[in-house]
Amino acid sequence: MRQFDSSVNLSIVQGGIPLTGVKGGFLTRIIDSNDFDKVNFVLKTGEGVLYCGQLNIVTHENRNKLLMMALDYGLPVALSGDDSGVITGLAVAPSDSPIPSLSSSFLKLQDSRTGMVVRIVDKDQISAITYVLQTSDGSRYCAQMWPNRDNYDNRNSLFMMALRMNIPVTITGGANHEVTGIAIGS
Amino acid sequence: MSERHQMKSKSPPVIPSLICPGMPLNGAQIGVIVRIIDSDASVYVNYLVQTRDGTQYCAQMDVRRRHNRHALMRLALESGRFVMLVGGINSYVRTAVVGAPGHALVDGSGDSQPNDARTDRP
Repeated sequence: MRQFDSSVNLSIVQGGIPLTGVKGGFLTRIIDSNDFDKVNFVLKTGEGVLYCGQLNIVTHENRNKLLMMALDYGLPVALSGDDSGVITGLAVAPSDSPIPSLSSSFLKLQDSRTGMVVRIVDKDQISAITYVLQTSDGSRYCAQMWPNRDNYDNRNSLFMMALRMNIPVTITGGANHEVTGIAIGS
Repeated sequence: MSERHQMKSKSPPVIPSLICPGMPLNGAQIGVIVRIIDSDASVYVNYLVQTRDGTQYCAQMDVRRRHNRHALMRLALESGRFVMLVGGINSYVRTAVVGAPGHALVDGSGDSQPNDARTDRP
């Protein structure tokens, strides 16, 4: 019987250098591990270097959804990893856009604005998911949602659809730049 | 929070929580979903469907109860496929039909349009 210790497992992860720090690029493949909860995502940077980050898809269902969409649609992503290669944060951008940064510090959306979703950020420092909206004058606004809220699943899936389809959205933000409404489409 | 807008009265005098522009959907219409709205301003998710003559109809639905129907509506928006919606009381979506792109949902209508999802025609 072989023992699968997760710390050892990470160092023998196939598919690339363990992901540490922030790396940007495109996902090239995902690798299931023996541990059903953990999935390895392989990121290819612009220089062609492969990095492999591990994600617990049970505790981070939302990140798994975002990364699967990024793989599916070939969207540029940024991943951050800790010292052992575990994914600690990510950002996804629409296709035909540059690699996103993990930053979500933009103007806080506290009214209703129309534009394009240019980034979705899910990282550890904050447990809310951040959505970055760019209006036609180029200004960027961020709005957030907490995954435990009632409306989260549907609104998040509408945000994801808007991002991958590159279609305009109208977002309404509350006092805490929490999303209180979203409309996607023309 | 004020309960003003959340009132669940027995027979509301006006259509509650329809928040899109356009005609309230009443009966069957065929068109494309051009907008989906999920806002705190409405109890239900709203849909805007545009028929071939350009008229826009607004409908609403409780997506927590109608997961599959909502998935069909999202699919219709993402794919641009024609959809047939039947609106009931308060423009609540009672039926949603989405077909393959070649399916003659809008049989017997005239000229083609740029967003016509059909690829063949009888």
